[in-house]
Amino acid sequence: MYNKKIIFFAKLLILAVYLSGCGDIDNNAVNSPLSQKQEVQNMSPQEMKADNTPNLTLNDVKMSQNIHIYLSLANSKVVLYEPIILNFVLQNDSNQNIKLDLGQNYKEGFIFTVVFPDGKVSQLPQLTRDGISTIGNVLVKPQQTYSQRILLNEWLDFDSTGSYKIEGRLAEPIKTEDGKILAINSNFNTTVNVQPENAERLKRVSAALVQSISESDNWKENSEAALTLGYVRHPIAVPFLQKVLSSDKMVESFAIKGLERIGNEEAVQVLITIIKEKSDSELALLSKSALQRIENRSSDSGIKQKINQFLYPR
Amino acid sequence: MSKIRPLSLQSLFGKKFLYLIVLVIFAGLSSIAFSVNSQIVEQTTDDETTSNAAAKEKQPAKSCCGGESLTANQSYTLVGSYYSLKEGQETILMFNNKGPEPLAVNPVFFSLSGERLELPAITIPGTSYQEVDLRILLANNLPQFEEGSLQVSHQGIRLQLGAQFKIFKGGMLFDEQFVTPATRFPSPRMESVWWLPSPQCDTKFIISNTTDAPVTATVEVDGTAPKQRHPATIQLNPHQTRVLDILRDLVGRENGGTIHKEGGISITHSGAPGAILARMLVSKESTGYSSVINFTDPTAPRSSKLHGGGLRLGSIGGDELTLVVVARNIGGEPTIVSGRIPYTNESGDVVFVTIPDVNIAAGKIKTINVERAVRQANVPPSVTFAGIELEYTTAPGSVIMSAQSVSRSERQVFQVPLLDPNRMPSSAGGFPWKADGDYTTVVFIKNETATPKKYLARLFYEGGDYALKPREVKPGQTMMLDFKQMRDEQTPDSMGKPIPLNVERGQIGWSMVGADNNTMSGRSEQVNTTLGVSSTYACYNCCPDSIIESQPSPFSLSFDVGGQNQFGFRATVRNCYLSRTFFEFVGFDWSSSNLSVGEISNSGWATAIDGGNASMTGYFEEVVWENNGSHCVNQPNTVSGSSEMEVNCAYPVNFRQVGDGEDIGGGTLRFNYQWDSNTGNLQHLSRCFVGEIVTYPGTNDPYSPPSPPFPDVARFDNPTIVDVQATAGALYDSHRIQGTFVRPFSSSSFTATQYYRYKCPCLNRGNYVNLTGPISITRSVFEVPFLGWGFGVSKSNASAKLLLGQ
Repeated sequence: MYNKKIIFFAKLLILAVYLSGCGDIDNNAVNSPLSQKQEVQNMSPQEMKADNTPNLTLNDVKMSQNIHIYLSLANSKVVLYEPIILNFVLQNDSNQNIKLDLGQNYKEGFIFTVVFPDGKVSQLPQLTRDGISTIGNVLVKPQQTYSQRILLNEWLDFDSTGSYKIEGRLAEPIKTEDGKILAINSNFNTTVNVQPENAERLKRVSAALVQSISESDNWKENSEAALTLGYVRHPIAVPFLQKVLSSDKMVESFAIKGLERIGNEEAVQVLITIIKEKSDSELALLSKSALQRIENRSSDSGIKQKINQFLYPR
Repeated sequence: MSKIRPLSLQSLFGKKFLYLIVLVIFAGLSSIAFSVNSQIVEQTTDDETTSNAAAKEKQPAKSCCGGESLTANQSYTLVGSYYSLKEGQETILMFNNKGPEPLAVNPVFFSLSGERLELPAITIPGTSYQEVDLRILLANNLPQFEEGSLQVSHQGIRLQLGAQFKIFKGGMLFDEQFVTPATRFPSPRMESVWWLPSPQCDTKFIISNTTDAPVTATVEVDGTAPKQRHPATIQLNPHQTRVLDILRDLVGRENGGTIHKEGGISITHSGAPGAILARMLVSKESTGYSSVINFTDPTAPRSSKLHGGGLRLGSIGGDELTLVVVARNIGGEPTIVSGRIPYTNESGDVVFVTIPDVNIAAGKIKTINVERAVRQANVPPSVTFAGIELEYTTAPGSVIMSAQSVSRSERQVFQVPLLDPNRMPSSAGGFPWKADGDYTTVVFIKNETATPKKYLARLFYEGGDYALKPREVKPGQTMMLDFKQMRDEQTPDSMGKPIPLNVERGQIGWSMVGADNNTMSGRSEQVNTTLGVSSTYACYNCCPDSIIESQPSPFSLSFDVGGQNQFGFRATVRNCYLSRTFFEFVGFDWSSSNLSVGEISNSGWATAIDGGNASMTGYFEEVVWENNGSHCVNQPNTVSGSSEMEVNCAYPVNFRQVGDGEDIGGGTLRFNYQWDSNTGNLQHLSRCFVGEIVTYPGTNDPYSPPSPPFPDVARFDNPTIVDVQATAGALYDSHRIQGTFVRPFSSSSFTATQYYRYKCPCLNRGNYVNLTGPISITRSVFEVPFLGWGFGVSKSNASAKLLLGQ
């Protein structure tokens, strides 16, 4: 009897020791990164709306304490393999500073639940990753707005046509600067209608993204555009990704990831070309890794052979 | 009288005597209790290559402006019609030399009866003005020459010399700017319009023969009771000047009568163009009101418009100002006078107050109620000056007008010279600047067109100059420049230097910038609000200033990333008398040779982006103004220039772990790292990245840890390379493993090696630079006594654990 009790308490003690390092994330430990400050603007929702394309959908989720979340799709009707952009806007109409904890890379803090075209419901895993990430703490001053573009394809492939109902919420409550919880109900929802594949449209979308990269010297804008282009999971995007690789805008790694996602023969050839032309560069290293991963996952024997012949010549 | 070699005042009277002159001038001015203004503007056109209309006119100069070879030894004569040292009056004679070299001026005085007194030449230093007390200058020739006229001649360039009489009496001031009579009055007709604050004013009519021949003048007066029955005929001997009483001498009323508040005088004469100069002096000793009624030649205007800049609004010293505009229709048809008052509001926009139409029958005179229009327009109290633009419906020259602001006490009077905007002089000029004691000299510059214009202005003073950045003037806008305020506030000029606080006098120069001459007007107003003294002076140059010898400025500049600076051109601005000043200009179409190092706006505003070197190339339009014999013409020359921009590299420093690694649950170990910028501003790191490279055992990519016990889906890019933009200044580093651990559990571990590093394009040729490392990250599955198995990840003396179970 005593032995059982001793063993039970010993287990509890050991469990407590192991878990002693656990605790809530201290959201206030780190200041919000400066790179996000440019997104905190004095803009009205009407101005935000005016900036968007005419066919956007706009949801206004009124929350307590005069805090509003506005959600709009850059385009509610997309074609298969087209990136889906969600514009997230939080307007602070209260008279105090508020803090948002959006987690790793400003993405971990969004939780999405999707109703698929076939009616299946699934909560998508939070976007976390091993390794380094920016810290998604955001301070929104009174009468300011915080806006962020969310590339939904990072959460879900949207690889079939039909209507996707997307419900989202913030993982962490909105708080005042001193930690007081202001609003918990931060749910928002929208619907994306994915239409059949349309190569011409994907081409136009890809071209616009490349043009935007070529015209801007703002790395953040360019990285978003390159990331978005990297989610055009269609062979039509390969030449555009190739242009990004030669853009000298320091967003090449996003293009390599995009080529890896496409993983067809053309994409493989572009990656091989990079390794050949920039053999001792970081890009070559990334390209080589991408090739290896394509080779691992591909079921196309021709592609596997091409990669093998290049990486492991006899 | 034979001519004497050029002689300066100093050589004439000695230093002590000069000092005495200055003292006398000050004493005279200090005793003034109230002020009087006069309006005189030397309105010329560029077809006046020969501006000397006096009797001893020389051959016309072929060129007045431009080339360095221009020494321009042409003789010019200016005439002042009346000075007086009688009945307690004092007269100050002012000379303004706009050329860079000393200028010898030969004064020839004429008594009222026309007797001639030729004095030794007075040397006026270059780019300056000089004041002379006539009581001292004429001390040896009184009382014969205590009243009369003056002709001054000089060898030089057209309009290089300006001269002015200021007659003071009991605190009243009558000023007269010297003119070249034939230019001002090409026909034998002269017209004026007067406005008196009340019929109790004293009036004097001055008429002077500027030639060596007798002249007969016929003078008609409109505005008296009783009326003039017949025009008065006045005979004038050579250089004779007559001071006449309007009622007694012109109307023929020995025993009084009344002069109406509004009236006018018409003169015709038998002499050569410019043979007659005439003025009317109005004063009211009881209030201090005084003004000068000037005459114009009705054949000179080219348009039916009259514009003026610097109309005073509001109040001065608490004394509320009233606007007075009076118009006289001298034509044979009824006319309608209309207009507007453009003023600059607090936002810098030009707002127009409409002056309602006023019908004036032929031969009639009317006061136009401008005051009511301004009041109804609710002009903000902060607006203290404006412009005025009047027009009439009949032929050019058929309406004579004058404008002034009069204070309620009548102590302050500000007259506004009115010009025909279609017959503007060259848009450049030079004025004396007096800023000692309570004196202030302000400059009004007005854009007379419907398109924006630019001008530049500078102040020459002994030992230096002060060059303002070129400024834009909106259509119809009047700008006011107050160099005294700039001095007191130590406002830097375009070259970055202020006016020394001890500078109290100098010469102001201004000129339009661009290709369109004759589009702007400028005048100065000398004000002493304490003494209640003010006077106006407008002296135009022969041509606009040339802008030459430009060089990019600065030649080179070192920036920190994020730094900003203006690139431009430093050019020599040379007025048509060859006085020079350096100015900083903006230039246009600037471009950068390396946008990753530095960006630059079209107008030359550069921003340092990243370390390195870039050439900034821009364009600038030089312009040389020359007189082709009839007009000022410009020769533009677009030049380009490059400046070097060196940007110091910004890179991350002080990379550090903040706090201990933290077990945040789920077997995740999280670290927080922060860093700074060597420049102190993280935003300067916009082209830098901070990241990691993590390598895993073996060469397989991706690396798959042994499974079981590790999750069979666990994959690590080998190497894992992740960067974040360095502007973030902070990052999280999370270490965990994805997926479900696979039974049967057994002891297993693998260690990855991590380096933190950064890269900036401006450093190490854009390659990575290590910040810290190697750091071991060990992930293991191990047996936990009594509880089964656990997973742990450890790094830098911190660890996170996860209980896996049996």
